[in-house]
Amino acid sequence: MFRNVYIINMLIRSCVWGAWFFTVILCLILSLVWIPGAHAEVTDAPMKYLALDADMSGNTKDAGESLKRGIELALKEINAAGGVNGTMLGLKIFDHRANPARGIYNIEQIAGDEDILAIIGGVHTPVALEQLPKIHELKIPYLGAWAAGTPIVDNGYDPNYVFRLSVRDEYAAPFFIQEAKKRGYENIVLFLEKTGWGRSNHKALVKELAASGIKIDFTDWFFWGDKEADFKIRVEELLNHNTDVIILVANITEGAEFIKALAKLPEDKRPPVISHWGVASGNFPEFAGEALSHVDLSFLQTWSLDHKNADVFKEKYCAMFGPCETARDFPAPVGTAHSYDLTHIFAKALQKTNVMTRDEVWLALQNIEHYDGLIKTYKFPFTTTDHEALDISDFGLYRYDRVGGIIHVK
Amino acid sequence: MREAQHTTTILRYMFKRILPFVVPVLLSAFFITYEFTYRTIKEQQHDAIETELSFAQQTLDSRIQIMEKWLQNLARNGMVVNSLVDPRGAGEYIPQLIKNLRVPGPKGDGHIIFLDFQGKVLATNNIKTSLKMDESWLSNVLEGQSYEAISYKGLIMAEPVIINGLPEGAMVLLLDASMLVSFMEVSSASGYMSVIDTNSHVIFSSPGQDYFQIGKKYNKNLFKDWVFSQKPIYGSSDLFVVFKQESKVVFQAVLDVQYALIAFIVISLGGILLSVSLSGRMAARVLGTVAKQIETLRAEKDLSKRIEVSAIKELAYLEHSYNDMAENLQDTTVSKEYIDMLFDGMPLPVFVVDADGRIVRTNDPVLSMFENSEGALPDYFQDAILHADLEKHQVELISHFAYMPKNACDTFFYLPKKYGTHEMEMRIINNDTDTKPYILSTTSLKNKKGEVTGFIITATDIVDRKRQEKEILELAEQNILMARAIEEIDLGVTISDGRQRHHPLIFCNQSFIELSGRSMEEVLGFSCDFMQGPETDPTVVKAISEAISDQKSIRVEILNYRKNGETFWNELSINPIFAHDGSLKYYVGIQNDITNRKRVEAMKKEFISTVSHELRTPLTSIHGSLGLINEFYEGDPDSEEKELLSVAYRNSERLKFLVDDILDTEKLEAGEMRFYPDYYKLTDIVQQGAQLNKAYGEKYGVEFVIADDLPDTYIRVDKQRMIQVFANLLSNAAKFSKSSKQVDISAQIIDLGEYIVRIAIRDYGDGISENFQKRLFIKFAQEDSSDVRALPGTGLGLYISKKIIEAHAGEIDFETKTGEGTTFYIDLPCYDTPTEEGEDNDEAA
Repeated sequence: MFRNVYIINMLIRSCVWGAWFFTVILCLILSLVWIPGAHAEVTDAPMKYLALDADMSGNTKDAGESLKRGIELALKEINAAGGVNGTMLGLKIFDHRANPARGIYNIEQIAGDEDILAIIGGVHTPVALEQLPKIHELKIPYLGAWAAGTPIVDNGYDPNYVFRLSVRDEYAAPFFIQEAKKRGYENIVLFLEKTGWGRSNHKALVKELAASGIKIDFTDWFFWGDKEADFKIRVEELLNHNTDVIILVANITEGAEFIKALAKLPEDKRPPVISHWGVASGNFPEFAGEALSHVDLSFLQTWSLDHKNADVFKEKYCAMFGPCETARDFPAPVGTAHSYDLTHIFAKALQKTNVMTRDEVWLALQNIEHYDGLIKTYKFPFTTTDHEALDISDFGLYRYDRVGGIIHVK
Repeated sequence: MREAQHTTTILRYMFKRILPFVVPVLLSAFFITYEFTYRTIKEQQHDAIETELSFAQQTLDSRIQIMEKWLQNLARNGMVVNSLVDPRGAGEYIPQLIKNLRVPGPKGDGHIIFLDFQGKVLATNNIKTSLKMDESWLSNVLEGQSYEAISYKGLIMAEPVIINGLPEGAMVLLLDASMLVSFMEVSSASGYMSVIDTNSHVIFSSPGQDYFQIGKKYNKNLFKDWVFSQKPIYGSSDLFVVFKQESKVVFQAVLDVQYALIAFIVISLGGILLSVSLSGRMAARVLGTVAKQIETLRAEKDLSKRIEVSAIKELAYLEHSYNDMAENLQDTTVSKEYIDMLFDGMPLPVFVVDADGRIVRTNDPVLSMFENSEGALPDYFQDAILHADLEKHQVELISHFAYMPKNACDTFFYLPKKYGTHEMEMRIINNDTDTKPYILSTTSLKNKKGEVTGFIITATDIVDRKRQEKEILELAEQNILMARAIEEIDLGVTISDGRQRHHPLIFCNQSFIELSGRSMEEVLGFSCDFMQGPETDPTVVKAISEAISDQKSIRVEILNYRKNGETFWNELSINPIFAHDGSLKYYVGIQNDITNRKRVEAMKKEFISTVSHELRTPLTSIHGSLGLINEFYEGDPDSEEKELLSVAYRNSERLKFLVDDILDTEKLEAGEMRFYPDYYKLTDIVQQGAQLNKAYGEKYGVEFVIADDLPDTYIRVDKQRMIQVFANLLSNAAKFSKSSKQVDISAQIIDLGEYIVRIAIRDYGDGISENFQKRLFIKFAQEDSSDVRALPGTGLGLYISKKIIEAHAGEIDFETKTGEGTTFYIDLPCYDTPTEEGEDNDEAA
């Protein structure tokens, strides 16, 4: 049997590979024959690249797609305007599948490609954290567009190759406390994933709460891959507490399982949830399903489609990525906004370089005076001492509407 | 001695007969049983092997299954998954987790390796294995597929570790050959178990067998004397569990059975021979004893000796038979005396005669047959029989058998000789004048050759029987006559069964059939009410029903229907017939068609009615006119017209009376006469009655004398009608008084339980002739019915009087004596005082 299975596997694999091979050949022929313009562009102009290293195929692939779209939209605008000093910019995509080991491997691959000048990083703090040594060893600028772990930026490396246009957990913690206070909550429960990201948030929250006077009822940790059944035991513990609010640090997979478990509690024992933005890093409504409508869930975001300048951007976006008929057509907009702004900032930095090297880019990034971006107007988004482009004033609480769109909680 | 050469002993005979039968039977039984047992044992062995193999197969299947599940769960474990995302934190828990794992299986050992997405080892449980991994399968596992391989080298199982929905690591379990031995260990109770891989390499083998060495290939052909069977494990064709057993173990059981069967055959044969020998000896002993005893009996004629009865049934039967025979012989000699006594003591006369009819022996009753003779019995039986009877018998023989008897003996004994027994009726000569009838029953006696040697004749006296036969014949004749009479009679006669619910008809005569217009089948079994129809008077039907339910006789006139719907008047009388015990048995119905009579009566009535009414009106005028004219001529006694007028007046008066009486009669018969009764003093009524008829009495010169002692009582009557009765009775008395000039009227209360007064009117005339007495109260009855009657009268007076009195719940009768006169009596209920009802005289009766 084992042998047969092996043979069958081999057969299937060869068929798949064969199919891929022929498809690629066919595509190449077609591109050479039918798109001479593109061919000329690729071959004639000098090209430099941004790398996107994110989960492009796992449960948070929507976040990866969202980042990709932001970069592509920005690159289109930049290249349409003649590129950066005549150099056209392109994008190379690396899929770390939320696996830190794969992330490290990707850094090695990226570093080996001289034309790639910087990396835009994805959602996963654990991956980014594990990648830090390699980033600094291979000296490649890493532009964090999503992962919020404080130690990603405060990593102890000097020179620090990591920049971030995203939330910083250290800032998220006071934001959550501030929002909780605003709503009059006194007892909170922390639910955090047992990863570097979870630990980073825990540290920040504990520090902030100590000063705020809000009491932590209890703290619970969960693992990646935990299912609703695992959360059920944890969530039922809430029945023994007088909890006002839950602060959740989770990504969509575990976040959805948590919400499902929470929705099963009696209504009066179902506290509202203020979540970190991991739950918005993909198509969360699809993962959480019906349970989402039974839980008062709000989460941190920096931008959404109801932002003041969103309409113009949305028009461009929809023109490039097809009709925007449902929320599904504009996945995780915050990631798109971040990567869009970061790409433009990267282009501005590149403009300042004499020679388009990673070191020049790293240096230039810290000297951009002004950029009128999508999220806000940046004044020195990065400096030599501050590699965070956003701060607490850029945060807001958001929630899902009935059709899965993200709207600002006024 | 020559006979002895052909004889043999019972024992030898039995052996000769039994052995040729028993030996083949036993041998056949041996082979059939052996074959059957051999097959059964083989089947059982096969089943046992299958069961053991299935058990081993299930055990191994479930072990592998458990192992797979365990590895799967490990790969999905939260800590394992999380460790991939959290490499820094994982150092705290993963090494500990992996190190402490125990693989499910008999010994719990196994090498666990946790690999990352590149196949780099993240953690192991540090158990050393000699197994070298060929990692060609790893890429498949890292693409999300499970992997499993088992061979004599060892077991490899791998499960992908999924994070974020994607396989990003692998959990691998390795068992080397030595670990696999304990993992695959299965045992067998009756043979050896082995586990082999697809190339026939032995993975595990039960200890104690040299041919199956772990890791070596095995060759089934090496073991020709072994029983093999195998089953695939875990639905795979790569892995088998094998059972083997030395053939001699299997066939040992068969051999055991074989030995047991042979022993059984030998013992059975021995047993049979022994029992035959014992039986033969016993039979020989008994037969010898019986033979010896018979010999002794023949020699000594001593019937008293008996043989001792043995316990064996058949032999005991023989011995019993001998003893019975001896007993019977003994009894026979004794019983001859009893037979003689019996013969003499028989109540019937019995003759024993020889073939010629000569009387050999008779018993005592024979003497009484001839008691009136002189006691001398004739020598020949045929002489004792009346000669005439023999002649009659002779005629019979000639006519039936064309046989001409030569003499009386031939005549009498021909039929008994021919048929063995024969009965005939004969008269026996008692003396010359007196003979008695007997039934002679003759039975022929035959010797062994079938020749008739004599006859036994018994005689049965049939005098009484003859007399009864005669009586029955006479009775039957009477019955036939009666039956014929009933059949011939012009009246319908029916008999219905009174015991059944609806009294169905069980008999009817021909007249009834004609009367009813139905066939016998349509009548018998049915209730008689089929004769009734819509116009049948229901009151009559009710009266019949009541009579039947009261079990009383009834006579009615009823309108009946024939089958064709034609009606007829039936004068029906029904009489119950009771059984001896008083219970109702039958109803006998007599039906008479009186339609014609009814019609005549109706015609007559109509005629009279019409005539009377038509006559009365002019007659009243004529009578009134004549009366006036008559008064006119009163002063002229000699007038010739006066005489003629007087005749006319008297006759018209007579005619008026006649018409009035006829009208009254008609009313009475039609039930139309109305009575208006009231209470009156008896004396008033009597005096008024006498007073009103005084003139009529004077016409005949008769004085009505009322007795002085009339009782002071009341009667309840219609006064006018009562006066009419008095008029009738007093006018009759006056008319027939003749020479006597007095009629006495008296009354007295007679005590008949009720309060009745009797009024008597007595004349002193000639009395009433005997002939006329019977018709006295019948219509138009007059003593002198000649054309020219001496005295006037309609002949209706007494009839009307009787009816009126009866309507008053009274009776009328008379006493007469020729030459002395006649007394008429009226009996009526009387009362001391008029009751209150009496005042209410408006109420019609």
